[in-house]
Amino acid sequence: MTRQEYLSELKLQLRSLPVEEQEEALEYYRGYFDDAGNDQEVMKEFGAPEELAQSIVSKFAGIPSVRQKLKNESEDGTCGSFSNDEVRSLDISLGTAEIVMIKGAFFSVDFRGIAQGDIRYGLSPFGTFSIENTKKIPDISFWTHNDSSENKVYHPRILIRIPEHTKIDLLRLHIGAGSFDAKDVEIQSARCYVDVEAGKIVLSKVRGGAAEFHCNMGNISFTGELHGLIKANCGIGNISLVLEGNPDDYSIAAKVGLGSVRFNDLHKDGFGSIICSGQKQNHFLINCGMGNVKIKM
Amino acid sequence: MMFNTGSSLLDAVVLAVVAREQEGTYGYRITQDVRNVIDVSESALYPVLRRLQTNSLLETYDKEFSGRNRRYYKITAQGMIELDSYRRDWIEYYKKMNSILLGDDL
Repeated sequence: MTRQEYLSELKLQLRSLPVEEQEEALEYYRGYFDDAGNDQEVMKEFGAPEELAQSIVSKFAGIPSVRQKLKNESEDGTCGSFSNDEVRSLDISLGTAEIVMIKGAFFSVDFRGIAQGDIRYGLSPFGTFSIENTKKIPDISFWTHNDSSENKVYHPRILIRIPEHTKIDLLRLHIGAGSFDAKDVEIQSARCYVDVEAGKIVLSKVRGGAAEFHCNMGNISFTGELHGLIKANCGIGNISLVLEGNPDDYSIAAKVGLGSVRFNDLHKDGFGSIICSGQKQNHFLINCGMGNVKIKM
Repeated sequence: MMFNTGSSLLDAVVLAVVAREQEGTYGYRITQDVRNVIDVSESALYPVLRRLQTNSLLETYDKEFSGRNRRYYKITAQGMIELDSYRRDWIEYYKKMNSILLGDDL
């Protein structure tokens, strides 16, 4: 591995940090390489970029990933464990925040730029691991990217760790104006419900059964596998589904307003509809207003 | 060394190493200097430096060095106060340790 490759990988692995922290760390390690002279020696000392990143990120997680009970839950210990066996579904409902989901040993949540108590998470008695913000996060600079204030206020950022090979019954994701990025996380979920208002959702390794996508003004980018009934409602945003599977096993019915719907080579721009003869076991039901829905198989 | 270095001792060592240089010193050298006395992985130093900097115990500035900018760390007045209190704590601590391990008089 060259120094450049090492640093690029490190940069990727530091994504969960605030941007200024990422740059600060990269600047440091760039200088370190320059001063040390022997790149291979340095990389050996530092270990894999992931390990180095881990040591940086863990030190910066302002609040350790404590196991926290849902506030209005009884003290009966029902949300003690966040292990893979206990969690049956994921319910994430968050407003304005940058949310990154990565692999971890347990289900856990780190956050910064959000007051303790403005976010709550925990495991319900029914095995639902839920994360929600309890009030709107007031942070004007999120919109303007204005960092000029002397008081260093971090943008609201949330880091969610989920174990490898997470297999759940339901993935419910509701994002307001923020962004949700789960690029490197594999999730297997029997049902998926993905809902975005003005924000952006990226899910790239999800295997699921039936799914429902709601996109108001935002963007949803989904890569993976889906079966059964797949519904997509799109306002003025964009929904992109890149799916594995044989397109011949899928049928589609789409209503289109001013927007456009594409299913492989089949497409409809502007008022009209796409209707396949017959409904197969795997079926897309699309309702598209002014946005774009693109399905590629 | 067979003794674990706790995080406050590591902070103290880093502050002391940086304080030795009037003009400040840079990441790679700090790492080497610290590793001369305690067994700590190279990757452990950056988070410490960054934390000390965010807590205003260290400050940084960039200076040109062979055609590039090198980041220097310098101890602040607040850092000196902190280091001073570490030094006093250390004297207390090693006296006690000496008394029990070596049988020295307190």
